[in-house]
Amino acid sequence: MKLSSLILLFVFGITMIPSQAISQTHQSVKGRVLSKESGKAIAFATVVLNESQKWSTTNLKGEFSIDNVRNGEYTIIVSCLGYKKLQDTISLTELRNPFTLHMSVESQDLSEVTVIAEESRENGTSSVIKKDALNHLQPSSFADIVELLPGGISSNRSLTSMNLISLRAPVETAKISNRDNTYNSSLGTAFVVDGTPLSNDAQLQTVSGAVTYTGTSDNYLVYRNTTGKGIDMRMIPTDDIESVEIVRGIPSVTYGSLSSGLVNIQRSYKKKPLELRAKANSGMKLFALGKGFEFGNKTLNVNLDYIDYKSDPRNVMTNYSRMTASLRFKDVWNTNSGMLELRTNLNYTGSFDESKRDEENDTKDEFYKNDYNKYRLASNLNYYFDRGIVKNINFSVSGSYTSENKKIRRYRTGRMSPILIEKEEGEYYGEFLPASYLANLKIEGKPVFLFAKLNSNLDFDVLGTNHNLIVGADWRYNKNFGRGEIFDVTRPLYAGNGRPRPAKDIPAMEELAIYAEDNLLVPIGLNRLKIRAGVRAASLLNVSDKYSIGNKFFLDPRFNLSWQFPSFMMFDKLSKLSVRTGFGWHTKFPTLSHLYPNKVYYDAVQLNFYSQNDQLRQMHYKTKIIDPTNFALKPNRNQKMEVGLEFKSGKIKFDITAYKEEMSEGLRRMSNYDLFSFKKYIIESGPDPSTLNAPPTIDMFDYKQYKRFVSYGQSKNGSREEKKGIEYQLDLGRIEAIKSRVSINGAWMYMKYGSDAPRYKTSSVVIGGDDYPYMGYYEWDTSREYEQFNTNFRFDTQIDELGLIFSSTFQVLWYTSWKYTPHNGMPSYYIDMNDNKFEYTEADTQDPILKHLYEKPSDNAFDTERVPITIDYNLKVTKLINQNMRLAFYVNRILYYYPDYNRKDGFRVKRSASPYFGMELNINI
Amino acid sequence: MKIKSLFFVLLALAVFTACDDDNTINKTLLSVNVNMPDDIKEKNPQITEAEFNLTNVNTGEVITKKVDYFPVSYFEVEDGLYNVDVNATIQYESANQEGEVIASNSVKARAVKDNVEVKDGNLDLPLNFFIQSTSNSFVISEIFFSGTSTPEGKSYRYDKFFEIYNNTNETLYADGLCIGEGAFNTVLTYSQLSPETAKTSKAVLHAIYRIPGSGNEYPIEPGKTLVLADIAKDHTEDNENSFDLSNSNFEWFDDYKNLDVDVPEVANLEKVVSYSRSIWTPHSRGYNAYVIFKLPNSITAETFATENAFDYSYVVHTSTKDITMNRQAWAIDTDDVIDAVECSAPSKFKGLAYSPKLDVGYTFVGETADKKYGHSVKRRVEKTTEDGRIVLMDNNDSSIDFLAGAENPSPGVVGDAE
Repeated sequence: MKLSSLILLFVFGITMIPSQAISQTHQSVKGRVLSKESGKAIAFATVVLNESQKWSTTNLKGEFSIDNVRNGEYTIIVSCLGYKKLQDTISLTELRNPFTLHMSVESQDLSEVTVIAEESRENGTSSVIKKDALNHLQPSSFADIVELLPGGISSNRSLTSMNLISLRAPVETAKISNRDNTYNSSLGTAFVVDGTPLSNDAQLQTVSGAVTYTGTSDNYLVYRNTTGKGIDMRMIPTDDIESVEIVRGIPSVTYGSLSSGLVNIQRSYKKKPLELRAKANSGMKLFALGKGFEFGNKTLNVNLDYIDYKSDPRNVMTNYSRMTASLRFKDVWNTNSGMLELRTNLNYTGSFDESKRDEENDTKDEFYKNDYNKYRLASNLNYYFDRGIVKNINFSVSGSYTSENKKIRRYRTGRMSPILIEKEEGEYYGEFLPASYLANLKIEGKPVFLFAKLNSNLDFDVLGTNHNLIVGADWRYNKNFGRGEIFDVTRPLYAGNGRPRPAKDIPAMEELAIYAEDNLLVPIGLNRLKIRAGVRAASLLNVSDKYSIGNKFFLDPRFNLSWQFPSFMMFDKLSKLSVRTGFGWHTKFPTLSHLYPNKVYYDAVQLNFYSQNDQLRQMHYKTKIIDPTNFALKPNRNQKMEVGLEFKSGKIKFDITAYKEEMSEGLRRMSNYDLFSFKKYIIESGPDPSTLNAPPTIDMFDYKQYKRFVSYGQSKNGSREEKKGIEYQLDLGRIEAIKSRVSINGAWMYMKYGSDAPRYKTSSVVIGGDDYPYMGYYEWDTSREYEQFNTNFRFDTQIDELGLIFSSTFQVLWYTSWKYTPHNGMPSYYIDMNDNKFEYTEADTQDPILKHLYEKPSDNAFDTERVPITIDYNLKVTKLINQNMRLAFYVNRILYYYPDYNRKDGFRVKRSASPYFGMELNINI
Repeated sequence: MKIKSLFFVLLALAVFTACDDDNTINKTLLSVNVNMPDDIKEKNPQITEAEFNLTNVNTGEVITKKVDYFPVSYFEVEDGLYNVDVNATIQYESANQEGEVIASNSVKARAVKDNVEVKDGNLDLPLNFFIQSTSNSFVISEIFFSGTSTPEGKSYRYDKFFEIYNNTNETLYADGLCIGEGAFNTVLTYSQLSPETAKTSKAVLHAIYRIPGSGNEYPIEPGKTLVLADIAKDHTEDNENSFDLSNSNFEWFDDYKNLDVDVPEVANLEKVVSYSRSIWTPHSRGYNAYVIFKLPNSITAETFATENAFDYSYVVHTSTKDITMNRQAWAIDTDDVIDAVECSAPSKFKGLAYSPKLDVGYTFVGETADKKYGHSVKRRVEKTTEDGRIVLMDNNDSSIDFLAGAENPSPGVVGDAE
């Protein structure tokens, strides 16, 4: 959508709003919010008059005031973290005395526990998971939480490989082992903690020379390299979380640097008893500790947690451990015009991967270690005005410094390969590697991320319609001050690799964004139209003029509209129905690793004289340098559209959302080629080694001129990713008859993933000792379409007399399927070594040489592959030993149904699954 | 020792049926217990043809009896001292891991027993048969595909080699001799393989390296070897558990990603065709099969690639569907194959890579590190001729012709004792 239409919408919002409003009598709504239990004032509670969209926040005395409210019936909603949401209907007909509202502490009372992710539409289509649900879920890391979303499937996660988020993506697409995985979903999901984001955009921990795809002996590197892939959820502890909102839909424009979704974590800033948690399952141990102190207006929270994980408890070769600490402080001051709140938090995350390789050849010297130590300081200053158009001004700053050291030591026994180290183009003499050596590599990364944000809420009426306007700006800075790869270039981990580049030589990346959003509510008869319309303009600064991405604004218009029909009675229950729709653009800039790839050094050994007499060995090579920087790189831009329906009747809630997302130019590593000409000195033309007493020189040999295709990878906008689906959740609430809270959720998801961008590929076939003479140019669409349909049935049965909660989840995966986009396997044309292009025809598929460019697909290559139903039954039993102690035990897949099935061709497929279990102890003192 | 029971009786018949009664000579009925050769006795062996030579030590008289049907044929011999020599043809079956018979093969076998005292009317004569073969060509005499391990316990894979042997009594020329690796390995099932010739009249290859020479540049004398190595150097310099390959005749050099080294003292094989640019390293667990054949150097690689291009397809079962794999390789006629050696791993074996007429069985090294590294497959010695030339066994059955998991790889030397 263009900016002009956005402006039009604003104008529409301001001028066309029906001013035949109900009543012209205005008054102030004043009141106090107190704690039911202690009678103390509750500060920072948000008080909303739902129908007017007007709101206020309580001050330290618990007082609030909402001015200029028309007479009428209102739903007053009071919410505050740690307290149960209060909802009441008030009638404003005449001047009223201040209200007193009592909120009760969100309790541990079993019958009140909400153990599911609740669907929320406050900030786009999202799921909100609160402390209670987290207590019940017993997560080890944030990855476990994501399973609660519609479409989520619980699995036994390994903590020895990275855990990346992938919203609205079938499980199959997001597997690390899926070579098509571009990680645009995980890169494009923003993680915000207490109002300030996390960033992994300056990470540069890729091992040069290692294979970057899975299924090779370099898996141990690939599975743990999050460079350019977003946030590793293993590192996010869960014990300090009060509430988390996972936005799958279209988030407010106040959130940026995202293309897929948003994870918004709120941690607790309040008095809390000492909480201890211990969790153990096969291979994993977790200990967590937390306490909240209160000194007058000030609160101080501290949380510590430690995880130790071994992928195989009998085998200590590979393990992961994490240590986190956070200290959070809050203070508030009342002033004569408002209230000032300060929240500051200091955090440490230590994340340690370690493995020793090669069980068969137990060499103690070999290891892989990745130590990640992150320090993060964030502050949030919020000023609430008692009255006036400006409701609040919020200023946030945060800074993080990470010290990341990847250390690898491997024995290299080898091929005595040439050592290639020169960093300029040219021809050089060189040496050979010894047959075996101990290779040491250290990658030192010191990513620094700075963030600042200024945000203000304005509240005003225009022609009888209330507007809640949010304006603000944020700034991000990513830079890596590390030294990058450090190793002896003459003893590399991967032969041929000898040109490390210090990470600190790469410039910083800065991103500036401004945004404005209007939230307005238009009553139309008894219906209510809620509009949220905003635009975010983001720009990448500090990039050279060569980049087309730099110094221009990318606009993200985002709209969410909802239409609420008048309430009605159904089966004696007050019922509400609303429909909604949304549309938005989302922009995520490429990271340092995408924008500043290291140069490609291509070498050709021209004289390879590895004499049996080591005094006579000689090597001569030519170096060519290719800069794979893609100056035309564009950001990932994702367009989302959705429609939804929400129905509530009594405590029954039903929500269904249909969505469509399209990222037409997602980031992808693509192949490119160049031609390289060099000489090959002919050994036979030179001196007989027995006549030499020193290494020969190149002039002693005849040579032949050769040409070779050089392929290299480049970050391009070559990925086309499309997501479609229907998400649904039915919460039946607590059904007394079976003492259970019953909920059903799930999703049908479709994702098309791949590339229709042209690719270059040559054949590895060798004929007559020379490289294959042609480069194929392929244009067919490599996309794969995935589908997944699941339903989770959840029963949380509380037997208060015994202090037990039984949580049963039937996880039904109705089917998963995938298929490739049909293609004919032929390149469009081919290129010879003189860079001439020729059309590739049907006849060429039979040519003895050219046929090697033809990738003939199997007859049924484009059939849909489908895996039928599986059902897992997971059981979790929580025992409340006393008021302060809970013990829980869980078995996932205690029962399962993985039926054998017949394929189309009659082949019978047998399947099996295995259960896993664990336990947890919670103590509050 | 378990005796496989092919039991048959020989009745010696009187030579002179019209002989006078008073000239009666005592005759004895011979009962022969056949002990089949160890290598095939589990493979349902049957004697299809046998020729008995009984030489009377005292008279020098030779009785020859050809037996072409079994189990029983009768004849009687006069009492006396005999030397027994039997030449037989034994047919047996090769089965896969599941016990299904995949091929049958015939070998020449022989049993010899001297100074047998024939008397008393009845005699049980146990005969131990051993396999006897004839070969009149080059044979692959040793393959070292598993690599060694270093004293630090790391695998060292750069000392792999092939040894080829002149098993005849005349000088042969190695010019144009090729070593080829089969496109099929022996641990995968190739369902619905098409065309059928892929494992019948053709040997399908995915990598071929050729010895240079115009036709008479590389003579190999009877009983001499030819060693083809990955890197022709003395590997003990780098790994004391390895051995010296500096006297190799040829090495293969793959100029890929600047990883390989070229030893100037030893000539390179020509990389005629290959599925891969990367460095050829025979599978360490021996999942491949190898052939040698002649391709004169007058035929260029391009010509060979054009004339011998061979496309094939097979079906792979996945959990969701069958996938037809379409592959491009090169094939030669099985009749052109000089020698073939099938290798596999007993726990993984699924099927032979070539037609069983090239090789009906496979050889292997151990599957644990201590039985794998530093172990080769080595062709057995059949006999040593009077002039001292070693003749290696060649029954076109690697499971009996080869010593599996031989302990000391010996490039350039044949005839190491078992």
